[in-house]
Amino acid sequence: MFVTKGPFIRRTLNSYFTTPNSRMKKIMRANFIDRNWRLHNVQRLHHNEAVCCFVPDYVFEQVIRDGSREERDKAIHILKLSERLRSQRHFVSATDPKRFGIGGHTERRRVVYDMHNIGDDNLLPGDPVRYEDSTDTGDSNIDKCFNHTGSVYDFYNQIFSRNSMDGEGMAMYSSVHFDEDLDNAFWNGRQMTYGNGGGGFIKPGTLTDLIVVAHELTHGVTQYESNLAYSGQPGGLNESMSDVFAIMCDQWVNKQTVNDSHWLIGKDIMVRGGALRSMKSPGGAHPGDRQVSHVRDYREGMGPHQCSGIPNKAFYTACMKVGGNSYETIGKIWYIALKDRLSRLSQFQDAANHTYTIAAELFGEDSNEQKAVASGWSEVGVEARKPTVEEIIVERKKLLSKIDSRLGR
Amino acid sequence: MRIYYEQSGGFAGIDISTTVNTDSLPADEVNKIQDLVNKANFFSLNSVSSQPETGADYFHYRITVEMDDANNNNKNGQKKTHALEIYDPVPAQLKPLIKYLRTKAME
Repeated sequence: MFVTKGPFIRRTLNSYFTTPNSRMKKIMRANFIDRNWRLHNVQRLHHNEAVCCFVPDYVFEQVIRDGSREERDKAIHILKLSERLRSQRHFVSATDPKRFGIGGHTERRRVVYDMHNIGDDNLLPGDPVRYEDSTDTGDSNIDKCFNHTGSVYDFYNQIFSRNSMDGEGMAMYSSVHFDEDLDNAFWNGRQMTYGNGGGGFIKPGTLTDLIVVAHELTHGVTQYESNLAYSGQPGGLNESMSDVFAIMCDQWVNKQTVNDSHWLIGKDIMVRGGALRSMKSPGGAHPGDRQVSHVRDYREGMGPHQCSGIPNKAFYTACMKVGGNSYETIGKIWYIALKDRLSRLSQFQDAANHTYTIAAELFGEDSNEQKAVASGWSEVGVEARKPTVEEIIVERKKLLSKIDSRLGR
Repeated sequence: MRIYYEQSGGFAGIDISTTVNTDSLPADEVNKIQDLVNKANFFSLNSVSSQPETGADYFHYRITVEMDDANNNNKNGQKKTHALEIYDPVPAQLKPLIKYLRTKAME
């Protein structure tokens, strides 16, 4: 158990002398598992990883075949950029935190940990208390978290054929009872973490509700796919994706059509009543709700949770135009955008253009679905259109320069 | 001493803020706050910490502490102040102060 080194063992030894024995044992047990993930992942780094790309190459290949001379040159240029991007992404992925999650399972694998009300990020994940083959613990937070994580996995698996957050069957780790009365749940880049609530704003025990679990888990999916940045418009899209997939999961579990759904995030969890966010009317969920629902109200420096109202409303509007089950129509379009087309610095306009294009690919040019996507974005002040070749070049160059700067080039 | 506290982000995405002015507080409360500021080693913390590369729904804080004890004034007679902009996960030493301020902001 003591073969790990550096701060890790110092922490372990420090705790040994300062904590009571029983708590120590629990922490040690958790650390032991923690160490095993790391070992496992060092091994994984040596395997070839599949690299994803956000605009399929066949689009450009078609341009090379059928386009004018000028278009052909541009398409060849993009394909060359793609190649460079692939090799660099491959390199980046080796140091990416996403590699630090045990993976490769063919079925859902959940572990819920208990932090025993300790709010120390360095001690995450905590004491493992619930596994796939164990029974209910009798602690409603732990059991709720475990069951809801299973529902979210099933939703992604059955509707989008997705195997866990990384799409490669990584185990889903969640820690509950983080801190004493923390009114927050978060994704830390590797796992979900849930506070108890009861800090004055959030009702105790509601942070492990299905919609919160689905929201947090989707942050994991986003990190492994488009990896949207967490500020500016990409931040708004990142937050919106978590709400979009959370509400779809809620509708799927409760067998609701778009007309049956309340379209609320965090309904019944606020002490003062109301909901945290409304996808139908952003800004109108509770008296202090400052979400915006139109691009004319977007400002630089706006928080991701404030401007996520814009893409949230676009999604809601598109779903209502089509009717039926969100996850069978507009949801599929959004999923492909998240998985294959959006990238780190995508803007609202990019999201509109990509979803508009995907709608035509899946449902046909001028289909009801494509018209619904266009009117959804139009409702929030973004006119969706097919991206020009120039725009795709600009988008790829932005991504490349970001990667270059991270690599110190 | 005056402390200005702003918190945003989190899953709820709700902004809260408060100002604590020790002039209007009983002595034991003032001592408690002083102790929290000292234990946080507040004046030696970096003013700006960058947002973590990964993770979502973390809290984001802006905290300013302004001392009005004349002994603490700088050479130009200005009050000693320090402002922080910081994201979760914050250093452990700062957590008790944040917890105190968050509770105040919720009142």
